[in-house]
This record gives sequence, C-alpha cells and structure tokens, in this order.
Amino acid sequence: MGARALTGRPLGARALADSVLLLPVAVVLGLLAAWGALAAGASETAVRIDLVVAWSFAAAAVVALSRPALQRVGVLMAATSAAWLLGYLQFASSPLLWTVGWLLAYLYLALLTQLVLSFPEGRVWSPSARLVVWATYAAALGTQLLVGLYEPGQRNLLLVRPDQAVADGIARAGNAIGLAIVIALDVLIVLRLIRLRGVARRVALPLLVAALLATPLFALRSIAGLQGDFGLRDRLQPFDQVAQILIPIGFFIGLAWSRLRRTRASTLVVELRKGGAETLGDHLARALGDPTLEVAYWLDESGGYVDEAGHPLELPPPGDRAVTKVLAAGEPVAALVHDPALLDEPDLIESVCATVGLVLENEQLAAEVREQLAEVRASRARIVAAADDERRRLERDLHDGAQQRLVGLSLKLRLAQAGTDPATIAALARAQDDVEEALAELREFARGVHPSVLREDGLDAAVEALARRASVPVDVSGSVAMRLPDGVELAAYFFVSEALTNISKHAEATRATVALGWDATTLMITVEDDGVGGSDRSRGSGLAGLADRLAALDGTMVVEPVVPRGTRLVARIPCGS
Amino acid sequence: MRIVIADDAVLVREGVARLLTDAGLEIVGQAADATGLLRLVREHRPDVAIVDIRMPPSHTDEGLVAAGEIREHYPDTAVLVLSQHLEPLYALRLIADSPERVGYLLKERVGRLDDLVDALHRLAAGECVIDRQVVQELLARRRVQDPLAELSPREREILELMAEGRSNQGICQALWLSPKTIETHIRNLFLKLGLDEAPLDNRRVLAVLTLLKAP
Repeated sequence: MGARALTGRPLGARALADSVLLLPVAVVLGLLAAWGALAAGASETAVRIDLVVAWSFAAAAVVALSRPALQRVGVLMAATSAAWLLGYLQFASSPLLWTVGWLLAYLYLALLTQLVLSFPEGRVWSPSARLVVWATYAAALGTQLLVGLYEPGQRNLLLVRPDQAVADGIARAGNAIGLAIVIALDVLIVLRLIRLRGVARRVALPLLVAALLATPLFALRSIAGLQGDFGLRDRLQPFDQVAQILIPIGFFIGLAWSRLRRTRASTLVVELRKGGAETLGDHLARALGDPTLEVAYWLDESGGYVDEAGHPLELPPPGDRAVTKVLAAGEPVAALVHDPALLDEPDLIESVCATVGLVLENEQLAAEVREQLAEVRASRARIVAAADDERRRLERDLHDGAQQRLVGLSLKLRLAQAGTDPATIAALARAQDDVEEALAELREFARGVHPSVLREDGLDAAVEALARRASVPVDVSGSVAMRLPDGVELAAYFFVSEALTNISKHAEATRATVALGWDATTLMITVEDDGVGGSDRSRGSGLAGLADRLAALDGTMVVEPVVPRGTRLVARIPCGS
Repeated sequence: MRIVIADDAVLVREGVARLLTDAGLEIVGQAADATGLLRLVREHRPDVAIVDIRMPPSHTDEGLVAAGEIREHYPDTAVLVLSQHLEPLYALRLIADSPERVGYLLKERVGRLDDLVDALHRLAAGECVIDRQVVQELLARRRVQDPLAELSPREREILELMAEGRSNQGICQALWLSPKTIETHIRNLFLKLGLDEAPLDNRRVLAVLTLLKAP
C-alpha cells in the first residue's frame, strides 16, 4: 500500500442505513424457510438453530457492510447467511428446487472458508489459502453433484443410476476431502496467527480463534462420515452448527476491540494537551495500538522529513510499512509511518490524523507567534533605545548650540552697555534679563529631555534630584550604588519622575517615599504616597507610556492601594548582567 | 589678578575675556579644551582659572576633571567652574575635598560682570563660591523630617549666604548687620541643625551642604 493523503470522506452512517435493509430480508427469508421446513416435518430444534446461525451472520454482515474497510467481509457474511438456508430448498416438493438445494447444501462451508481465509481484508491471504478456498468450493459442490448422480430420490433431477452404495462411497470420499480441508484450514489459521502482529492481529484474532474452535466438530462429523456412520454424522450436525455461531461472535469481539481503540484515539486530544514527557509518537502509538508507529515531521526549510529528534528521515517505500501524510491547511506537516493494517480502519486513522494535524498546526502557529513576539519585543526595545539616543543627542545639541549662543548673546549685550547712554544701558540690561530667563527655561527643558545628572552620576543622584524638586516632601531610601544599562536607568528615572509628577498633580498627598532596591537580576523601585489613592493608568497618560517603556525592557509596573490611604507604584526591571 | 579661560565656545571665551579686560583684570591665556587649559596653568600659574564644565572631547564633565587636577597640582590657582547645570551634585563634588579657592557658577553669570568679578576676587582671596540659584535649589528640598523648618527667616537667609561660600564679613555686608549679631545667628543656626562647635571657616559650607544633601 502506498502513501496517500487523507481527505474528507463521509463516515459509515449512510452505508449502515442501507445495509440495515438486509435484516428484514434475512428475517422474512428465514421465517419462510422455517415455515416450509416445519410443514415438511423438519425437527423444530434444528430449524431454530439454523435460524439463529443465519441471522447471526446477517447481523454481522449488516455491521461489516457499514464499514468501508469491511465491505468484502460483509458481502461474504451476507452470502454465508443466505447460503445457510439454501439447504432448506430440499424441503420443497419441486424437483428443481430440491435439486438446487441438494447441490448448494454445503456452499455455506465454502463461503465460510473464504471468509475466514480472507479476514479482515476480504482478499484471500496467500496462494496456498486460495488453493484451499477453491478446493472447498470444488468439494462442497462436486461431492453433492457426484453423490446426486447415484443418490436414489424421486425429486433428484441429477439421478443417472440409483445406487446407494456408490453414493455412500462418494460421500465418504467427500468427507475425507472435507477432513483434509479442515486440517489445512487450521494450519493456515495457526500460521496466520503466528505471523500477524500489532493492529491486524488484534482485529483478526477473535474471529480466527472462533474459526479454530468451530472446526473440530466439523472434523468429527467428517470422520464419522468417512467411516460410513452417517447417523452419527447427522446427530453431530446441530452441535457443529451451533459452533459456527462463534464466527460472527468473534467478528463482533474484534470490532469491539477496534471501537475501544477508537475511544482511545478520541481522547488523544486531551492527552496531548496534558503534555508530559511522552512524545507525540508515544501517544499516537498507544492510541492506534501500533507500537511500531513513527512520526515524521515536515520541515519547510529543508523540504524533507525529520524524526522526533530532528534527524533527517527518509519515508520508507510502500510495502512492509504504510505512510499516511498529515495535512494542515492543505500543507504537509507530518507523516505517520505505521503498520499497513491500520489502513483497514480509515475512520480511525483519519480522526487521529486530524488530531495530529490540529496539534501540529497549533504548535506551528504558537512557534510563529512566539517568534513574531520576540521580534516585536526586540524592535520595541530598539525603538525605545533609539528614542533615548535621540534624547541624549537633543540634550547635547541644546547645551552646545542654543545655550552657548544665548550665553554669548548675554555677553554681547553686556559689552554693548559700555559707553552708551543710561536709557540704552537699561534697555540692554532688560534684554539680558530676558536672555537669562530663556536660558533658565532651556535648562529646564534640556533636563526633561535627558537629565545630565543621570548620565553623569547614575540613578541614585538623579532620583535624589527628582526628590529635591518634588512639590511634596519626599524621603528616598535604598540605593543602587552602581551604574546600570542606559535604558534601565532612563526607564527607572522616568518612572520616578512620572510617579512624583502624578502625586503632585492628583494625589493631594502630604508626603511620598521612593525606595530603590536591587538584587542580582532585578531593579525594584517603589514610589508611595499618602494621597487620595485610586491611582490607575487613567490618572496620567504618562503612566501608560511608562508601562510601555518598562515593558520594552521586560519590566513590569504594578499600581496598588496602600491602607489606610495612599497609592503604591512598584516597577521591576530585569537587568541581570 | 591673572586669569586663564577655558571654553570651547569661542564666542563665550572671547566675550568673557573682553569683559574682564575692560574691568581691569589680566587675561593671561585662553584654551579650547582641558589639555590646553592645563598647559596654560602650568606656564602662567594664574590666580584663577575659569573653566567651562563641558569641553571636548566628550562634552560632559571634562571641566570638573580638569578642575580637580589643577587643585591637586597647583593649589595656588583658584578654579571657577562654569556650568549649564543647576545641579547641586556637581558643586558638592567640586568642594568635597576642600571648599577653598573653588567656585561653581551657572554659565549665564558671565553676563553679570559685577557678580563675576566679585566671585573672582573672593576665589583669589581663598574663599569658596557657590551659585545662589544652586544653593536655593538645595534649600528648596522638602523633607518629611525637615530640620530647616525650625530656622527663622533670618537664619535661613544667613544659611543661604553661608552656603554660597560667603564669609562672616561678606554676610555682614550683604545683610547690613553687625558681626556680633551674625555670629549669634550662626551659633543658633548650627545648634538647630545639630552642628554645634563647627569651626567658623569655609568648612562650614561643606558641613551645611553635606547636611542638605543627606536624605
């Protein structure tokens, strides 16, 4: 069996609905046959047994026909069920019907043999098994034909020369052939059971064992017939027939086992979500009952498959192993390398593949999202860093450009005062005042853009400067006592700055505290006030921007109330070396 | 008085030089960076070096570093650092070792010739000069436990003048009070701040500023 991709296909519900029609047909035909047989004086017990056997096979046929993989099995079972009742034609008064019934009386045995030797694929296993099947057909039909040539009987249209002795002789030979066939059948079954592994073994085992159990009674009957004791042979018949019921029962048990596996397959999603040490392959092997199962993952980059450890993997050629490709959104994501017997249950493998497809697609999406997230975070960090650089450059330009020019202007104004009249001197002095005011404003602006004290002396000094300029008394405790990365220092500085600004604007606080804390990996800054509280991000858009700035450094900010009054802002910034 | 000026802005450098020359001071050299400044100091041993805090190459605190070197190697030369920063920390760093012959003024003071000349004379006389606005910035600091809150307005005024580096005599002149009154005020002030028995020289500036800086 070659590789194939699974596509959407309706499940067996409709097939079941169609094949269920077989049941009333089987019931009606069975009742007709029984009525005719009883009217002709047949044993009530024998008729009951025959009906139960025929109907069992009919029921098994209905179930088998509802499953795409078991169509051939279903047809064979339906045929067996029908053939079982063909012998009843011998109760008919019509010579033609009697003759047909006589000829086909043992057809069910041939059909049963074919069923067993082709289970569950529906194709006979091997050339030797095919030989046995043909032999069974030949024996079942041929013996009756040959016996019919000599068997005395008014309705026997085959009769050439009534001779009971010849007929009995041929019948004994037929029994010998039957015995040989049964032995061959058992050997084939045993060999098959030995050879079968994994999934197929479990599906086929109950039916094959049932067949093995059913054969000894037939063999006994054959031996009786071989020795010419046709009375014993006929007395054993009911037991033999009851034993045949084991076959549909075995079939149902096998089905139930595969149903069990289907249940396991349906809990696969739950198990996979739980995670744990087991690989996807382990889960699938258990769910599908195939310990040899391997999962191959498709890699777009290399355009090939890899195993769970990431080593390149060649998919095996069709043959001993089957390959089922798993698609997600129309693209290959993986392939399952498994026992070909699993292909007999397309529903099962389809549902598992769908699950695997979902899981892998999900993992792939998650990986993509993680990758994109990392990219976005990196770019956000870069944007913030670039903005910081820009601030630094701007502050420097202000100092070295505008401020110097203004100082120079102030000097010029002062120099111009020499040797002029008092009115001009006064005007120039006023202009000088204006220039100094402009310088003071520029200094404030430059400090807001990028505080030089932070750059020169670090966070402790900068926080102290912020505390000094706050409108409420501020206690500063703790210290960092070392230089941190530029971005961390700036974020921490702006955090304290924004927090103190908020306090003076909104909190109606009488005092505030700033605490700096630092361990090997994290800088922690706490700003607390005793104001009206209710500080959230709506209090100032500055805090929201601050949260973004902190997040760019993988930092966090928490706003929490202080009992009985006040608000605490806590920022944590990772800065492990 | 012999003076050298270091500032990478030619406009400012030349302007200051002209103003001071007009005011009768002697400019013995001009430099555009710290290296040039140190060479001038070594050659001329001026009374005062006027140093811009930001100079090439990094435009950060080269002026402060150069000031430190001058004070270490040429203790007779006073240093006046001109700064754009209203940042007490720099002033504190400058006077940390010894608050003598060292000053910290905002750069725009160069346009105020009288203030500048006054500062230069005080520096040459061995005093310490801290920009008025820087001192106010320090004193503006509000604390939960604020020792300054107990000072009277007059004591506070005197503390500011002290922090600028003024001597008792300077304070007397500024406030039109007798030296005896000033001394009484200063004793009370030190008492309130817990600085009893502090010597009445420029070291009190350090004491005061250090106290103010303490959280």
